[in-house]
Amino acid sequence: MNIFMKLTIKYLSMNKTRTIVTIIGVILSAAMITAVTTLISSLQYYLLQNVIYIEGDWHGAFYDIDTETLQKVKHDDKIESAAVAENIGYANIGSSNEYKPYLFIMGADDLFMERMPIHLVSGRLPQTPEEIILPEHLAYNGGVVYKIGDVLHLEIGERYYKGQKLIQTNSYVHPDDVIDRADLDENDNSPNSDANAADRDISYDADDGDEITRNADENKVIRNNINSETKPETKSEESKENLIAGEELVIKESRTYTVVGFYERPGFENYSAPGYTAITKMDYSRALETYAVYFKMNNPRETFNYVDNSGLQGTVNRDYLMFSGYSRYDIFYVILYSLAAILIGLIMFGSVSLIYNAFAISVSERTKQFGLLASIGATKRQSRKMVLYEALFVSFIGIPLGILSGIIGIGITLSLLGEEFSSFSGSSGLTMKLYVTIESIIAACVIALITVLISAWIPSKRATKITPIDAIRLSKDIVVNPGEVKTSKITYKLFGLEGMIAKKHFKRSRKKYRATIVSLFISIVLFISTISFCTYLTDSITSVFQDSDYDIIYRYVFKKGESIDLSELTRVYSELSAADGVFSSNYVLTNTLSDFKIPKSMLSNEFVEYFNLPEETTEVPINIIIYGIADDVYKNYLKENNLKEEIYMDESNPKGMAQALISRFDPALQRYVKIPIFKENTIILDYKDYDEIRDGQAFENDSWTNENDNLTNENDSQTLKNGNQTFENGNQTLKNDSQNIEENDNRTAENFSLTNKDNSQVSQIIENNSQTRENRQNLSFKSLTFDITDKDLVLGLNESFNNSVKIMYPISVYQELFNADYCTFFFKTKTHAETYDIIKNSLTAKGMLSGEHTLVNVYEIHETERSMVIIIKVFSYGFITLISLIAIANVFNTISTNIMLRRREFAMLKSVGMTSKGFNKMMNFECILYGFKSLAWGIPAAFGVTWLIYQNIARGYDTRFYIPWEAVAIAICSVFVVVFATMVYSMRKIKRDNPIDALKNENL
Amino acid sequence: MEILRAENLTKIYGSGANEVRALDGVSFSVEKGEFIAIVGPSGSGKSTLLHILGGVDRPTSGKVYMDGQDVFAQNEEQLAIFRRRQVGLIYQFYNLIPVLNVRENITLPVLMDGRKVNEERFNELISVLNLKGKENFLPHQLSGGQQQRVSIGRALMNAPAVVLADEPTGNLDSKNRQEIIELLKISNKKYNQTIIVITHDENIALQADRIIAIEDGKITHDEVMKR
Ligand SMILES: Nc1ncnc2c1ncn2[C@@H]1O[C@H](COP(=O)(O)OP(=O)(O)O)[C@@H](O)[C@H]1O
Ligand SMILES: [Mg+2]
Repeated sequence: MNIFMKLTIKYLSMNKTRTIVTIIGVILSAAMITAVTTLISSLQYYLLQNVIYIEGDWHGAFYDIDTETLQKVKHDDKIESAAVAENIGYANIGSSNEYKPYLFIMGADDLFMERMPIHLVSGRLPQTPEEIILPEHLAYNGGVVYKIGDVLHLEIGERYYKGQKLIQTNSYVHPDDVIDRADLDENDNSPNSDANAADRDISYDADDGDEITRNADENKVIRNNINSETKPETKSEESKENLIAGEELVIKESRTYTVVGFYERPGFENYSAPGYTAITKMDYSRALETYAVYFKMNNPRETFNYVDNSGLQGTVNRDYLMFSGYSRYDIFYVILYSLAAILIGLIMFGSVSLIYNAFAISVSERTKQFGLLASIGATKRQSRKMVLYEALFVSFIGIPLGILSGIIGIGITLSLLGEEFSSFSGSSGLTMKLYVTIESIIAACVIALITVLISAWIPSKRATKITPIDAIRLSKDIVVNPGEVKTSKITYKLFGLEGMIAKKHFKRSRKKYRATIVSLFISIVLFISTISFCTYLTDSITSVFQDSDYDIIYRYVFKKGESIDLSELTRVYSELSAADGVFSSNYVLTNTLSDFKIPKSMLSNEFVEYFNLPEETTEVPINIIIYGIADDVYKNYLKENNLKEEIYMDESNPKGMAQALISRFDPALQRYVKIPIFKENTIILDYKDYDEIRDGQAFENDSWTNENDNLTNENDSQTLKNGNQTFENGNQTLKNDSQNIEENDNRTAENFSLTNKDNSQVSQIIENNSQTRENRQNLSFKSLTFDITDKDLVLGLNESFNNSVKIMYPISVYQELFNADYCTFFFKTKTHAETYDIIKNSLTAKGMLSGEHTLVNVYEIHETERSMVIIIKVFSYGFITLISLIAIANVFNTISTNIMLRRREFAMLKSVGMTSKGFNKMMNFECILYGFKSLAWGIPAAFGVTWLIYQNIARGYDTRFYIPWEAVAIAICSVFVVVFATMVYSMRKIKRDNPIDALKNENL
Repeated sequence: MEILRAENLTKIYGSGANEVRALDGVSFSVEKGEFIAIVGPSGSGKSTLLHILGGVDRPTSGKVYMDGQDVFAQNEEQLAIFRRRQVGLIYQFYNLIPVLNVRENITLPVLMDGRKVNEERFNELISVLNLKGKENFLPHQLSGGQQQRVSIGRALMNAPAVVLADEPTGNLDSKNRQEIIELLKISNKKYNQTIIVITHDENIALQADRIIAIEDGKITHDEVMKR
């Protein structure tokens, strides 16, 4: 150990308090950085586990290879191992899904069973080539129901189209579509082409959209697949005339299987696949089959090239490679890493300011020492090395402890929160667990070390700049300019001589004083802006977080012109409401009058104020939804709310009961506030005002309709994404709302008609409506009359988020007055998942889940949202806590060191007779000065940062600027508390000093 | 043999109305083995001169040659090494490193050079300085005289070309004062050590080979004592 290292260690051990505080700073900083890096590695691992659950544990695959090629692949040096399944063939199974008519039988080997995502729902795996398991969706999508023990006699064959063999990745060639495929490329293996695809109602598998450009035959999907599980709605008449036969199934053998189990819809089956995948045990005695092989590479990075160069039809498990870190170009990493970079940047900024201060003070305290060493011949490099040693020593202790505590912290957080992630995992139900990689630790280590070194380097550079003799005299720290220090009379009166000395100290040794103020300033700004950031973040999610009084919703959409057969629907409804787990339910008919123009004079003041409606606005379009409630339910409702049947169920003079509120998230109150739309309690709307008819179009853009679509889509792998989409949609909805309102003022009737491109359609609708109007004329349909209630409505209509007027009528009245867009069933359940399955099966059997009809487990969506909020809140609070700790350590360190540096001054004052009381007075005055000065700078700066955060958030989400006053109050109190506490602590030590010792040792 | 030469040294502090000419064209030359006393009233520029000779401060203009080498023509790095090897500085207020013990303080210039300590020389110094048994004491455990002896030890440890002492006895009682002067004289005689001492004490000045008097930054007297 050389003398400089020794000096450093001696110095550090003689200044224990500061060394410890500095080490705490390093621990905090390393812990936070580790938290970020391990969070990333845990997330990556969690996502990888999810991919394995959904897609399986493999790198690449070939779908259709012969025995010879199979052996070649199996024995290839580059291949680590291969899971194999024989493609036994297709059997027509009489599915109700016309694009998925077959059962596709695969004979899997043991490795295939182990690695591929075969998740049993019931029964067991096949153990002989005579046993078979069937996918769940054969029943719910294909409507073919079997049970365990059933014996299947299957006529198995191959699919051919125009003499070409088709495989599972080639979707079904429907006779009706053949006309659109006339330009089929004979050389192309895929019978699909994108020609005319858009004419029909084709859904693309969004998940794989980006693959289209990469590899035509990639994973799951070929170019422009038809999502065969969504049945195309109507087919054009012309195509039928040109009917050409589609593909054909050439039978080659018949076989018998016993059903031994059911498994979840497998991830390796395309949405466009023509057959439901059934799995049996591989039969090694047969050699004529073709095979699908799913392999792992010795070097996973080579997978892309290997598959591309093989000349075989194959795929790459891109998600697997991405989440295991073998392919990094993905946008996922860009987002993940840039978010992490922002977080780490913030953390580094906070910790550098803390650690820097510690070093700056320790260096300026030792400037004299550096000068002394320089005067007896220490070079600059040697002096700087000492600071470096100090940094390394502090890191040596602090970083390992920090990394450890960061891992423990995230471990605890994840063990508490991991469950919340299971709602993002879809059917896998995987939870997020702590997963530490060496890379994440090394990254944390390096970043933390850089942080410490930056902090140490700057002050050391400064200290060695001045000449040794200046350093020894400390002449730079004290600015002697007698004219500059003028203390006010008030200071003198309030704080006496001590106050004056304190003030002079302030003015004369600016640098030290500045260090304290700067550290306080940074702490204040960091604290308040972190809170603002976290609050805005939570808000942006909470505000679109919708709650409702039902768990499951089914919506039956009436087709245009469909006669409404209520008796059939109510029969289904009563059957479903008797299902296990349902404890209350309701059904309603709905008619939406979108953008009903309501005269401004009728609107409440709050409403006008909130939306800042300009003077010239005369009317505001608001959605009106009219509900038809079953008469008995409505009677009960009226009774419960002490309302008269004679008034509200009077067919000759219909009067509705309405809720008319708009929800707005109030960031200051941290919750929704509901703004009444109308001024009065009884409203009569002139129906003639409703000249803008868009027949429910607006409603289709409603956020929950989008959610429905996502959920009814069986794509498990998308569930996580869906979560995000849901929020985004929510955001959009909010945004749209506000835009609507904003744009209203300059909208005219002309503008409206312009927005409808399809004029014929509009006129047709208007026609329809005028007819209705004529028909109902005797019932005074020219106006809507309703009373406003502040109570809840019937079950199903109470949502936390409102943006429309909801009017209820008993069905008897409703049917006389309105058409219905759809009929909605609401179920409140004890066991949402099970009940959902029961209802789903029942509706599937009735054929009532096809087309536009939707069934949604709303409870699950809300659970996902709740989880999201919890997760973000926990991480926000964790982050705020750590930032606060850094800030406190920072302030403590700066102030205590500053006081230590003034030992000599204090000793001198003591020796000339300043009392304890006098010291206290002086210190109190200093505290107040520190506090006010730093707050005066810090709070405006924090507001500025909050404003910037607001500006950014406001781009994606409708919010208003507000200041986190609680945080400001906390900051103000803590500044004084921390400053006073530190002063008291440091002064206790100083007071014990013998003045002569202090004087003797420190002077020159 | 000439060991040190100052040429037209000028040092100006501040500027304009605040300008202070601490040194104003000081030139002289020192032979090896000389024991020189610098005297003059307070504020006359003695310390300034000494710091410039020792290479811890830079002159506004003028040159210093040590052993024929232009001191300020060197870069920072070389200057530091020059101070380490060629100069021994002693201050009025000892200026020991508080966290290092006696032994470490004395051997500091050698340790900084990364060389091995010459134990013989160290032991000899310790006994001459009468610090035997105090090697492991920290500075604050020593009396003022003892602390000053440690700093003399540090100055002599490397056998520098010149020892520069700025009022080394200014802070001490008369007994300690004489002791320190004796030590300097011994090293001057025994090791043929060149020594320049600033002092207010006429007694001490009279023990030197040569006295240089400074007033307002200028040399007013420079006489070699005849003995
Ligand atoms: N760092 C400095 N800044 C400004 N003036 C200085 C500084 N150091 C010394 N002086 C001035 O230079 C003059 C000479 O000082 P100094 O060499 O310390 O005198 P002495 O040691 O003879 O008492 C004095 O007038 C002093 O005020
Ligand atoms: Mg002096």
